[in-house]
Amino acid sequence: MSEGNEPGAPAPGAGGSPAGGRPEFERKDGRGPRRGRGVGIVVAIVAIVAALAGGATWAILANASRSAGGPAPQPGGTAAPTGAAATTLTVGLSLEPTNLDIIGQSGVALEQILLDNVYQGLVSVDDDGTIVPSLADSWRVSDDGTSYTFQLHPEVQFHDGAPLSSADVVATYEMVKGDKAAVANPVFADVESITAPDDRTVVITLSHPDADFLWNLAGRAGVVLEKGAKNDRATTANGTGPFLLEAWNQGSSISLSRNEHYWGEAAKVSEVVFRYFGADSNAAANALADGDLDVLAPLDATLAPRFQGDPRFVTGTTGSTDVFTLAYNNAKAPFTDLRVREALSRAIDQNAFIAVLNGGGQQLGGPITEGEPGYENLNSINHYDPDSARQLLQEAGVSGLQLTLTIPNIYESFHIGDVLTTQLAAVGVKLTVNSVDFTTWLQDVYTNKDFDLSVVDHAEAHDFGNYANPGYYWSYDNAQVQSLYAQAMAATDPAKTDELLQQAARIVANDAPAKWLFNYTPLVARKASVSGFPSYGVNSRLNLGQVAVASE
Amino acid sequence: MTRFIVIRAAMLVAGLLVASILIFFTLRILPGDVALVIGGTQASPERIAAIRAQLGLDQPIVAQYLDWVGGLLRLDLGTSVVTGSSVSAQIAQKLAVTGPLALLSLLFGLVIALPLGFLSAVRRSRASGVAIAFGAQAAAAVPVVWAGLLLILLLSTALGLFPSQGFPLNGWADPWGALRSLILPALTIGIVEGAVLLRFVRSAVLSAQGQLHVTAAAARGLTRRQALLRHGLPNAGLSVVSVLGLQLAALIVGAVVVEQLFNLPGLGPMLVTDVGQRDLPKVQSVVFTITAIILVVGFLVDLVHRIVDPRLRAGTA
Amino acid sequence: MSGRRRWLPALLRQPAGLFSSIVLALLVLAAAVSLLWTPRDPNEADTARAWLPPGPSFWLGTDGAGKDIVSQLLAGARVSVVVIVGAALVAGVLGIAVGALASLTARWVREPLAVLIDILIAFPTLLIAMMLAAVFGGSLIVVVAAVGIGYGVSIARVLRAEIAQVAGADFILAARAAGLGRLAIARRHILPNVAPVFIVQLSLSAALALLAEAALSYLGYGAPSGTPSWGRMLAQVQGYISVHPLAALWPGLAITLTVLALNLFGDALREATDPRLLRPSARPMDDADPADQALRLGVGR
Repeated sequence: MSEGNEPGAPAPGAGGSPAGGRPEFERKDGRGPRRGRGVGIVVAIVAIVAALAGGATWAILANASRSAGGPAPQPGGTAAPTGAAATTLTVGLSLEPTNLDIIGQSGVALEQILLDNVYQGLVSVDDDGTIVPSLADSWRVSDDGTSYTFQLHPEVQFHDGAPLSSADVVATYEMVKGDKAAVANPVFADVESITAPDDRTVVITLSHPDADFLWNLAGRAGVVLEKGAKNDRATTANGTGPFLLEAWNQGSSISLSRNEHYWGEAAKVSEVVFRYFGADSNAAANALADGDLDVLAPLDATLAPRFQGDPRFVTGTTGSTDVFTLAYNNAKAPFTDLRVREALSRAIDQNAFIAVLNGGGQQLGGPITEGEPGYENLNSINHYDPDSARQLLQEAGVSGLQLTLTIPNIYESFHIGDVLTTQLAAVGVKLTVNSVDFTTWLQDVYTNKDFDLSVVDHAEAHDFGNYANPGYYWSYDNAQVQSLYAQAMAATDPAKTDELLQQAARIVANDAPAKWLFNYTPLVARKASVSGFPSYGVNSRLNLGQVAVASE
Repeated sequence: MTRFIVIRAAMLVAGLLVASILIFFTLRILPGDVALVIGGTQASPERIAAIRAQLGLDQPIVAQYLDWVGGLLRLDLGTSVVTGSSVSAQIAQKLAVTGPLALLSLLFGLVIALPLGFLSAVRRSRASGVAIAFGAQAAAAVPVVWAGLLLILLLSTALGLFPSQGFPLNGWADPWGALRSLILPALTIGIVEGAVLLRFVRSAVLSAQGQLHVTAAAARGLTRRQALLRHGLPNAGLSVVSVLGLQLAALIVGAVVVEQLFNLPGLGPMLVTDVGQRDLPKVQSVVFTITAIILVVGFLVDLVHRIVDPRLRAGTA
Repeated sequence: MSGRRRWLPALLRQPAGLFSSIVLALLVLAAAVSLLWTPRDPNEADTARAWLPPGPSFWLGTDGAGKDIVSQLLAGARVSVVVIVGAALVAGVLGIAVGALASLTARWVREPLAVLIDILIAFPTLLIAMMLAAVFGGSLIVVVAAVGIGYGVSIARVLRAEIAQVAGADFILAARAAGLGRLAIARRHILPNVAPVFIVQLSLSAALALLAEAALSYLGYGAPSGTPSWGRMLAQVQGYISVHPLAALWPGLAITLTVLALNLFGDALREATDPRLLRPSARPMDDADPADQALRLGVGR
C-alpha cells in the first residue's frame, strides 16, 4: 500500500526500545511541552472554526436585514388577521421565472404564478374556459364587435395603497401598445383607442372585430398596473390581487402573502410558497413524500406509483392546452422544402413519448387541442411512417442531414432528445441535442431565431394565432392561413370562428411547419387536506384564491 | 512575527489582485464580446447595444476593470442583467447555506481522517492498518455524486433518518431543521474528502517516526504507539490545520455538486443557473467571491499555524 | 538505471499493481472494442423497453429511455480514456514546464512564479470549468482543458519543490564541477530522480480528471448527448434512484473502479521504478512544507 513520500528508512530504534520503562516518572517529564502543543492544536482548530462560523453568522444576520428572503413589512400597515388562522400552501413547481417583469419578460412561468394571484386584468378565465369578471364587474360588446365597454369594480386598491381607476387601465394598455418589446404588444395591434369616459369606465375600440380579444385580456395582456408606478418590476410587484409578492429566493422559492386589503373575497390561505425544482423531479417527489409540499404540479410519471394508492395523497391527470411542439426553423434550408418537413414529421412516432407519461399525454395531429375552438382530430395527417419519410427525403434530394435540436433542460424526464435522435437516425438524419437553460432558449430560439429544431411546451391556450404570425420564432408564413385566421377572429359568431379555425388548422397540419409531439396533460398530486386547487391548465395559470388547506 | 504578518498580508493582497485580474479577463477577453455571448449571436443590434450600455462595455477595458474592483471593495456587486436582482444580496443569502455546509463537511472529514489515519499508520503492518488504508483509497475513488446517492438510499429512503433533499424555507430561523438538512450532504463530502485527508495524516504520522524527538522519546521508554500519539499525532494535526486552505478549495467543489443533488439553495446551484443563463458578469463576481474566501481562509490559517506551532516561531529552537 | 528494464515484473509482483494493471487493461480493451462492436447501439432509445431488469437481450438492463446499459458502459469507456489521457497530457506538460521554470531558472523568475503558482492553486478546478463553460458551452474539450490547467498547476507546485530539492543535492554539485552542462544535468540527473514523484502525480491527476468529468457531466457541462459517458449516465439515472436503484449502480461502480485502479497503479509504478533502497535519504516532514505533502496526496484538488 502506498505510503506517499514518507522517508524511506524504517523507524530507527523504536522497534528495539523496551516497552514500558519507568512510565510514571517519564510521563510527568514527557507531558510538559507536548501538552502545550496539543492544546495549541485544539486552540488553532477552534479559532479557525470560530472565525468561519462567525463569518457565516454575520452573513446570515446581514442578509436577514435585507429584504430578499426576510419577512418584508406589508405595505398598508400591519393588519389583523381576517379570522383564518395562519395557513401556508406550499406548491412544488418545475420552471422558475427568469424574472418577474410581467410586461417585458416572456415565458409562461411568470403568468403561472402571478396572474390572478398578484396581478389582475379586467377579466379572468375559470377552469371551464369561461370568461369571468375580475377587475371589471361587467362589460358590453357592441353588435359589430369593435367596441368593448368595461365597468370597473369600485374601491379597488393596488398593493401600495393607491386606488384603481380607469386612468390606470388606459395608461397600462397604452404603454403595452406602444412598446414593441412588451410581450403582449401584438394583442393591441388592432386597437384603435383606449379611453376612460369616467373614473370607472373603460372603452376599447378595435379597427375590426377580434374573437380572441376578450380571451387575451384574461391573460397577461390584460394586466393592469398603477399609472406612474416606479417599482422595479423584475423583482417587485405592485398589483391588485388577493396576494402580495413577499419574497423571491432565487433558485429556490417565491412566497406570496395574503392581501388583507383585497377588494374581493379574501384568500383562504395566509401564505403561498412556490418551490422550484427545475428538472429534479426526484427531489420534488421526495419533498412531497416528506410532507414538505402540499401540491406537486407536475408529478413525474415514473415516480407517480409512489403516491397512487397512498390515502394521504390524491393524484390525477389535469386537462390542459399544453402542446409539446417540435418546431422547424421554417425560414432556413432545408426546412423551406415541404417534403423535408413532411419527412421529419413522418419519422416521429408519438407513442414513444406518450408511453412514458403514464396517462399524461394525448396524441395530436395539429396545433389545436381538444377543448379549444377549432379542434379537429387530425391524427392521420403526417402520421408515423418511416418508409414514407425516407422516400420523401430522397425525393427532396437531401441525404446525410445533420441537424441540431435546441431544447430547454427542464424536459429531461421526457427523454425527448434521446427518442428523437433514435427515430431520426432511422431515416438517415443525424441529430445533435443541445440542452440549454430556459433563459438561453428564450434568447437563442424565441428572440433570435437561431436554431434548426426546437422543442418547447406551448402552454398558452388559444395560441393558434402564432401560426398566422410570420414574425413568430418558427417563421411560418402562409398567406391563406393568415387570411383564414383573420376572418375567424373577425367573425362575430363563435360557430363561424370555429369552422374557419378548423380549416386553417387543417392547412397548417398539412403544411407541417412543426410536429405536435403530444398534448401534455400533467399529473398533479396533492395532499388530501388541500381543496380548490385548479384542475385545468396548471402549467399556465394557478388561480389560488380559493384554495384551502384543511387543518390536520 | 510582525514582519511575517506584513509579508503574508501583502501576499494575500497580491493573490486577490491576481485572481481578480485573471477572472475578469477570462470572461471579458476570451469570447471577444460579452454582449454577444449574453444576447446571443443572432441578437438584434439594438439589443446588443442595450446590453453594452447596461454593462458599461463601451468604456475602455481598464476602466471597466477598475469599476468592478471598486464595486468589490464596496461589497456592491451590482444587479444581474438577466434577473435584475442584487448580486451581493444573493451571494450573502446562498453563503448562509454553503458556508455551514463546508464547515460541517470539514468537521466530518477531520473526525474521520485524524483517528483513522493515525491508526492506519500505527498499525501499518497489521491487517487493520492495511484495511483502513485500502478503505481510504476506495472511498477517495468514489464520485461525490454516487456517494451522495448511496447515502440517500441508505440513510434516508431506507432508514428515514435524515431528509433526502431540501432546506427549510425560513433558513436558519429553524436551526434544527437546517442542521438536519445539512448532515447527509456534509457526510457525503466529508467521507470522500476525509478519505483523501486520511492518507495525508497517515503519511504525516509515519514521517514522524523517523524523527529525532520521537526516537528520543522511544529511548526514554515510551512504546512506539505512545511516542507516535504524543509526537506524531499533534504533528499531523498541525499539518492538517496548515492545509485547511487547500482543503477548502476541494470542499467548495464538493459543495457545488452536493447542493445540486440535495436541492440545497446554496452557491452551487446559483452558479450553475448563472452559467446556464450566460450571466457572465454575475459569474465573474461569484467566482471571485469564492476564490477570495479561499485565499482569506488560507491567510488566516497560515497566521494561526504560525502562532501555534512553536517550531515556526522566530527564535525558538 | 539498471533496474529500469525490470520495472514491469516488479510492478506486477505487487498485488495492487497487478489488480490495477488488469483493470486498466480492461478499460482500454473496452474502449477499443466499443469502436467496433457493442451489444446494441448505445444511443438507441426505445421507451417501450424502459427500465428493464438485466436479461438475455440487455445484459444489465435498460435506463429510462430504453437504452442498453452495457453498451453505454462500453462506449463510455472511450470518453473515460480520452479524458484520462487528455487531462494527464495537458497537466503533465504544463506541470513539468512550469515546475522546471519555477525551480531551475534565475531567482527573479523563480520567486514571482512560485508566488503565482500558490495563488493559482486556490482556484478550484470546477470553477475554472464552469467559467469556460459559461463562455464556450459545455463539452469534453472544456473538461479536459479545465482539468488539465487545474491539475497542471498542482503538479507544477509539487515538482517545483522536488526539483529544487534534487537540484541542491551534492551529486549535482559534483556534476557541475565535473563540467556537465545545465541541460545535460537536467536530463541525466534531475529528471530521472524526479520521475517517480511525477508518475504518481500524473496518475493522481488522471484519476481526479475522471472524477471531475463525472461531476461536470452531472452538472451538465460534460460530453454532449450522443456521446455516452459514465458521468452522463449517472446524471440521467440519478433522478430515479428511489424506484430504479440498480441502474445507478453501474456507472458509479465503473468510475470508482477505474479511479481506484489509477491511484493504485501510480503508487505501484513508483514502487517498481524507485524501490526504497535507492531512494535519497529522508528529509523529515518537519522542514518540508506540509502543503507540499498534502498536494502530493491529492488534498485540495
